Amino acid sequence: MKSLNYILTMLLVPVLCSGLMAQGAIQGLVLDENNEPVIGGNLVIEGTSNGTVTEFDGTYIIENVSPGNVSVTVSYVGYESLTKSVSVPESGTATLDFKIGVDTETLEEVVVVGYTTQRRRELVGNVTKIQNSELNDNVGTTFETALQGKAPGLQIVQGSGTAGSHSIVRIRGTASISSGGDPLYVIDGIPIVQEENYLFGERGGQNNNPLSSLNPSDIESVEILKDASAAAIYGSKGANGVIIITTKRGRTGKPTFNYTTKMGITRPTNILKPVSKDEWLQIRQEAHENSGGVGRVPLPLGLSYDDIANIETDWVDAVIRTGFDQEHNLSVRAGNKWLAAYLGVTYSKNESYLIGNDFERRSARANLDFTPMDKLKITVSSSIARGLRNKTPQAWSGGLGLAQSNALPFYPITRNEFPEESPFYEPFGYFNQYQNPVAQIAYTDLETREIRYLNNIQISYVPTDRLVFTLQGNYDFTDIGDYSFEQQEWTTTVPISKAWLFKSKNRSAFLTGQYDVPMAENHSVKVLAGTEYQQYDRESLYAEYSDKFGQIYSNSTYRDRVSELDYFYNGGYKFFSLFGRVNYSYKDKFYAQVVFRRDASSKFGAENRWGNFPSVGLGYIVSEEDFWPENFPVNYLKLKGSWGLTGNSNIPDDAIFATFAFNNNPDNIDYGNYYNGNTQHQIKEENPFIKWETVSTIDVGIEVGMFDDRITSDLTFYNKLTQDAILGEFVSASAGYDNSVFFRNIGKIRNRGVEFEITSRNFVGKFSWTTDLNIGVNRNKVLDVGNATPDALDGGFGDTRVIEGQPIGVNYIVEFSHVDPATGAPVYLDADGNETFEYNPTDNRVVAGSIQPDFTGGLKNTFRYKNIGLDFLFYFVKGGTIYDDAAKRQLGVIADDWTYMPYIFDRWREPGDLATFPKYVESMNEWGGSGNIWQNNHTLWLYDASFIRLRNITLSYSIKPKEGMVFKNVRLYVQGINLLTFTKYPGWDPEIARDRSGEQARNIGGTNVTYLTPPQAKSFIFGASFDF
Amino acid sequence: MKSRYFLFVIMIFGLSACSDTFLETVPDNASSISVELTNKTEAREFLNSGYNSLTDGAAYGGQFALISELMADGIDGAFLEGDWLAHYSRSTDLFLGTTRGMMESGYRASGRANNVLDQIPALTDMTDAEKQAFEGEVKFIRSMVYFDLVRFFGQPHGYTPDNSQLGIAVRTTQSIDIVDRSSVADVYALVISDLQDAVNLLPANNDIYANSWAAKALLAKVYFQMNDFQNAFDMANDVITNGPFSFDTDFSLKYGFGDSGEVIFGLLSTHLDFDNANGGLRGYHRPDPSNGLPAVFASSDIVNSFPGDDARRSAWFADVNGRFACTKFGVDNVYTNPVIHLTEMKLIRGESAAELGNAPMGVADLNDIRERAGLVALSDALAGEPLIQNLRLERRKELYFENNRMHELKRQAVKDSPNLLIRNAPWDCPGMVCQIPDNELKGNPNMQSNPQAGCE
Repeated sequence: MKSLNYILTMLLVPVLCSGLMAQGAIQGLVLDENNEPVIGGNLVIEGTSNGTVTEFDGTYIIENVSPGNVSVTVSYVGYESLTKSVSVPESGTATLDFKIGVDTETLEEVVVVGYTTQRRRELVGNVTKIQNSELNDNVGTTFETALQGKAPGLQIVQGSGTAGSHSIVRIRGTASISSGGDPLYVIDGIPIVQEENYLFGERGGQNNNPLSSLNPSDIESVEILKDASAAAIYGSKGANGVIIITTKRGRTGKPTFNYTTKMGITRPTNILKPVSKDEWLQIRQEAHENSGGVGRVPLPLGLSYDDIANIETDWVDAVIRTGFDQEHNLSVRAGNKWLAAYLGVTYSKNESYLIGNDFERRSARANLDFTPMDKLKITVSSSIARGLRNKTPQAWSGGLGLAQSNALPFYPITRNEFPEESPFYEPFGYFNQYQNPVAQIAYTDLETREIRYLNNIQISYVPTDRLVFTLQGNYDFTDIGDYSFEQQEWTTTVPISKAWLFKSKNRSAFLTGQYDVPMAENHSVKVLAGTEYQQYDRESLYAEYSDKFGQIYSNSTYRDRVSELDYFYNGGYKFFSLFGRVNYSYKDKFYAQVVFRRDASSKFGAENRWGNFPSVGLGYIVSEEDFWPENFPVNYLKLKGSWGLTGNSNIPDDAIFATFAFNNNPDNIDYGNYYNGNTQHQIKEENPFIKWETVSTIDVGIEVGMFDDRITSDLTFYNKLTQDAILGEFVSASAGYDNSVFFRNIGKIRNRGVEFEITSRNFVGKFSWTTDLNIGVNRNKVLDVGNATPDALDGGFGDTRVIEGQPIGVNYIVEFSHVDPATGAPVYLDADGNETFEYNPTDNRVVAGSIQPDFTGGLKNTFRYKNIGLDFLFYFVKGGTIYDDAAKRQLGVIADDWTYMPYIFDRWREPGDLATFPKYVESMNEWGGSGNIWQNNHTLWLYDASFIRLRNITLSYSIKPKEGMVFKNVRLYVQGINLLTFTKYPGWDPEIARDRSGEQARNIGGTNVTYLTPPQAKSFIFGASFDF
Repeated sequence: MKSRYFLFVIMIFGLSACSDTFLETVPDNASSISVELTNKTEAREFLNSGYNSLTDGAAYGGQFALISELMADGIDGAFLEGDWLAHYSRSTDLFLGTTRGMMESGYRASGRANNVLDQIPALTDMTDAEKQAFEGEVKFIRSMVYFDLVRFFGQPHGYTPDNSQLGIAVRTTQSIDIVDRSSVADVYALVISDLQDAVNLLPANNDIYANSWAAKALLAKVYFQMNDFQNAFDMANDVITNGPFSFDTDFSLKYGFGDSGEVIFGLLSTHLDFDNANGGLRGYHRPDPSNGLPAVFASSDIVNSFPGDDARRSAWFADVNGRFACTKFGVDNVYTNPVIHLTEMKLIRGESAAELGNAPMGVADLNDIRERAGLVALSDALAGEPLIQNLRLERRKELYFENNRMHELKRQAVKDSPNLLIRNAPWDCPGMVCQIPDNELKGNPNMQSNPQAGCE
């Protein structure tokens, strides 16, 4: 902390000591649309970094202004920027007042589009910009959740309520099958590596989230690039869309400090408790008798009824709690002619509702902009984040998953709950510890520690007014350790410490030149050309100690021993790219853009190393034409259209290689060692043909403003065709390669849809009410999968599949028809639709549903009255099906090792009953199937996935500062996240991102398939923001 | 000025025409087989990984033995669940972990062996004899695997007169190309020709690896399964009379760590690093720490087939709360899995002899085994059907949990019992064949499943 103070001081000294040269000055007043003073509004003299911020009364004064005509731009969060010109006398003061209006997606708004910025009116592509002020409702600590419901066509499935877990993000549907479907994230020009989702598999029932090290409050804006003309500049990485994150930068003027804090509590969105002890015994007894048993059903584990007479455990309560969240940010923005700085430090700790699960983050960021001379600008953006995630087993791996599966209501937590005369009684110790989530949490410890640096330096040189050269170098370093510790009581032999360590270096650099070509009047041509290089390297290490006490991570001796071991170079990849963009405009109403990118990558096979990604786009603001009638209700109309090719290179970087395993490779879990373990084998064959997927997108849109922009609306149609989609062709067992897959570019997938967005300012003035609605409708269809059989492309468990002519991720299962009223037996349909008692997955599976929603969207209402604000956001998903993969145990065959769901009771009991569930029975044979109760997958466990959720409701109060107050701006708010959910799904929560590791599993069954997946979190938050 | 910038742009784009070798990024474990497998040491290491797969718990290290008993009559069916119950109830479908594992482990061994075979011509530091020995081992490993997989996943040899029923996919070279199922006739033809080659290629003495005796002994098993008694007799007799093996006086010795004279082909374990290649076999029968019970119990049917005075009954079965746990494989903590041993050769020779009318030899082999177990010798006058029945009973007992029973019952059915029921199910009903698992089906759109009709 001391060193941080030192750095802060050193950086601020030049900022504070400048501004002594007296020249002209500008002063004035900035008012908002209600003639209230704007406090803290930012003023900058165009073409310089000289500026200031407004005072409490809205006044300002900018000194050291070169005499002559200058333009001053005022900007303020949530308001339109406004630029005015004034003539500054030598050694005198000019006056310039402003009145600014509320920002309604202004045409002059600057949008980051990749390597440069454009004005919104110039855009021919589809870009949604989300400001920092709208990013306040993230769930837990990760920023991407805050995008949910805010942009049409952006589907975000939160990664369950676990702390720091990872969301599944899809822009305009799922366009890939075996390769990654997540968008590209670019943070301040640094392309972020998404493969790190799967670093540690799904250990503990949770994927890693590489975005969790990013502090949301450092973010200035997020731009979402959806169509090809916008994303083609990212070439072979742009096909799934691009999310550009821009962090806050310094502003000229006096230092302004900001402190924000959030404190809140977290609970599950829904608590669904399994049946009680009496109910469990009743269900089990009924099944026992139905299956021909007599007498009281024997209890599992040899327990007697006397043993359990006084025991009843609420396992769900035993593993969940009310979590406490807190976040503190302190930042300062300051700047003068030569240096502008944003410095921020953050501490946050997010305790989830799972006992023992939290995520703590400390981060610091310094963004510095130097302007040593007029033609040169140097910016540095640097952040460091340390994350500490305490994980607990969940879902399939235990914890809350066990509480709804193997932990039965009459099992005690500890053995001393048994009566003393019971043979199971002991004064100490847990009962049935491997199925006891409390014992599991007590005896095992899972922890992830991560350090991430994101750094870049950018040098811009402006030799002439029309030319800018930009050189940027990026260094993104990650060091993650995933540790587990199992106590002696758990292993029953010796304590075992394990460490999975990972380091990656993501280095990149780009050079661009932008040239504003001199043209005749009314014509403008801007050219950007550039080249980029990226090199990503990763290495890993696994270490295990079974002979010592103590965790590896908390004991320096073991840490040292681990650090002496060699890291294994897992590989990485390199990209080399050339790109260019040409923008033409005519009279600032007709726009054309051509983008071209050429990428080469080590990921692509030798036969297919270079890919070309062109796009063209046109935009036409019809309402700027002379013939457009004055006072026409439609005051603004823009038409735009684009076509382009983008690529998806999100394939494993070792896909092109034949790989081998050696017996001394600690990552290779082989089967014993034949004669002292001198073995080698080949894992897979080489693949010189694999290349990027090509996505061709056509996009047609119309933007409308009505009633003087009181209503603005965007409507977009798109058709996105993935060609050369990579399919992981399953290699038959008979080839001897252990379920490996061989990637081939042979699939074809189409996503087409409509995106609609409307903002209506229903009331303006002292009381204002704004409604935003966005809807993304997407139709996903797999057009070609080559020769793949339905089972060849699966989503892991849960029987989701890829089948030609169907959407990606269909539920390919046997159709359950009804319960036979005469016998209580389940009746299925065979492949021809005839009723049958036989459960036959080999012949009778059909496409019964799909994980793809029909549409998703958000509805937001914002109310303001004087200082009080109220906004709420509903997020909705319509269509799609949820497959509950655990239902076959919780509701299916009644066995004695699982507990049952509270909605199991509508079952057949006597002839004539029309019931939801069949007669309770003890064996899968009585369900018409094989003996395996795990093979009981059919449509009885399939549910409608639609839901509406009150995603965010915030009530805020702003204290307008007065002269003499310490604080310039104070905002207090209370916020509720995910408070209400409306759904027909009877399970825990309809928003499901399953803990699947691997791209294909996430594309096909990552969403809408649950296996004991924990529910989302809801939270109540108190927040405050102080400017001073 | 302007032209200079254009020149710069052209220069940058010109780079794309240059060599792109600077992009190469090679992980530590990436290479190609022609680089990794170039000499004798490496060939041995690659082949070791094939042997290693044989020891897998899903193959010879456990499941082959378990499944052949589960689907027949050797396991107590009470309290079975999951995949095991599916096998027990003869209703396997395509989604079973057991069958996936059997295919995967078996084919992993044959694939890794084939990978070596493909590289043998390019190996430099080896004599022709050494190369031949490697080729023989490869053919031995793959024929052993194919022989067992075809017995689990296809109707038995003799199910149709021409054995045109579907068998399994077989490969004689390592590739990921699609291969359809061969007929049972073709699988057996390949197995026999591979083993005949192996007999010629392998030396009689080959360290711990398969030798020519192992190939002959396996050939004896194959012929016997085909009810080809003359060939079975010849092979078994050759191994018994000319081979270096000696009949143990202790019937349990061959299930221990070493010291047995009977092991013709065994899967070896070392004491090093907890290496126990065959832990799975014993694991089924050991008490589970959570409830003190083994995972499977022997059926009373098999236990009662041992008369009270049979020393094997008390040595191989332990009473656990009135049920029987098999203790055959618990002699040493770490032990060799005797996949092919001399006792089996004697059973093959004896029964083949009896079938061929050489009753005295049949009685002699039978009595060697009986007397070792403490039973009285049967009369020398025994012949014909009674002798055969006694040999079959002895085979059932001696080879309990050794990947024998289901295949043997089917062999008997083919030979002389067309109406044979195996635990109340016709021997040739669809459910008596394991369903082809999804990991074999989904790589090949033409791959045919077995009929999914159970045994009712």
